[in-house]
Amino acid sequence: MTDLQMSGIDSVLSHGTIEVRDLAATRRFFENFLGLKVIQPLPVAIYADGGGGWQLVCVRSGLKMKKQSRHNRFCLHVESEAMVKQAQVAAEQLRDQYDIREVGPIEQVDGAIRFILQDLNNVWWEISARTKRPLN
Amino acid sequence: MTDISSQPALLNPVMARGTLLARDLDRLAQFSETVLGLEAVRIAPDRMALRDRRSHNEDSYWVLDVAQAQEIEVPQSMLNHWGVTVESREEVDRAHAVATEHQQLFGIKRIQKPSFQHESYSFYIGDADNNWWEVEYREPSARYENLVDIASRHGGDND
Repeated sequence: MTDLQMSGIDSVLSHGTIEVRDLAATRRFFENFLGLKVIQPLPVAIYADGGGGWQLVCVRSGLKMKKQSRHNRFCLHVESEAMVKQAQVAAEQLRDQYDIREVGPIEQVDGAIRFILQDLNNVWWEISARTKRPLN
Repeated sequence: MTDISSQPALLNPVMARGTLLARDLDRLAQFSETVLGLEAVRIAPDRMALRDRRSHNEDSYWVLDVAQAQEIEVPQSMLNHWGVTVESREEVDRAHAVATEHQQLFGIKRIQKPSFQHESYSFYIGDADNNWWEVEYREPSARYENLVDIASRHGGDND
């Protein structure tokens, strides 16, 4: 460990934030498609509970949604490869209902299958099976 | 056929990771460990994980998955940031002082002054790769369990 690393700031990763245009539509997508628990403690923001003390904070913005890269994405694990495949089919079927912008194909990455999608706010999501967890 | 009105497409998902890009993983690792208090773990020549102390004693924890890139084609904005929480206002000030001291070394583009808003004392940093970070201390009233109570008092919809 270098001297630089000795600052000893004691922190936990607690949240990420995104801009959303329509809180209600975003909440519907989160709850009814992604299966996330959502609360709205503030008029201008909803919180999706990521578990383990981490939340995704979604702040209402009147601005045009910015372009987002698929390299900046949120990753969800589900129980099985079958559930990943079912979710990918559902994403294709429900594109119009949830204003899903893009649905990628099923891929094999890091020893697990996954697909990615771009939601109504241009935010990218990765859905993969929990069977292989190289990072956590 | 599945009744889409009664159950979500994903059942019991776990939010596991966020992903981001950096042009220099070593620089981001040093910045993350020094200023943000995170642990950087190289998992491949062009990839590393950033995690916090919970990774050592809990089964489920959030990880940032960083990939190396030649260029950052889509810069992030302050409203697309990753947040770390510390235990006191003093710790926020200390992180701010460390960031300011090492701004040039880490190529930090923006460091905002700490401020108090929405029951939270924090500051924002725009790093060398246009990733944005918030270092914050949350007053008890702003902690998630209290936000859940606030939302529930409004029937889950405080709009």
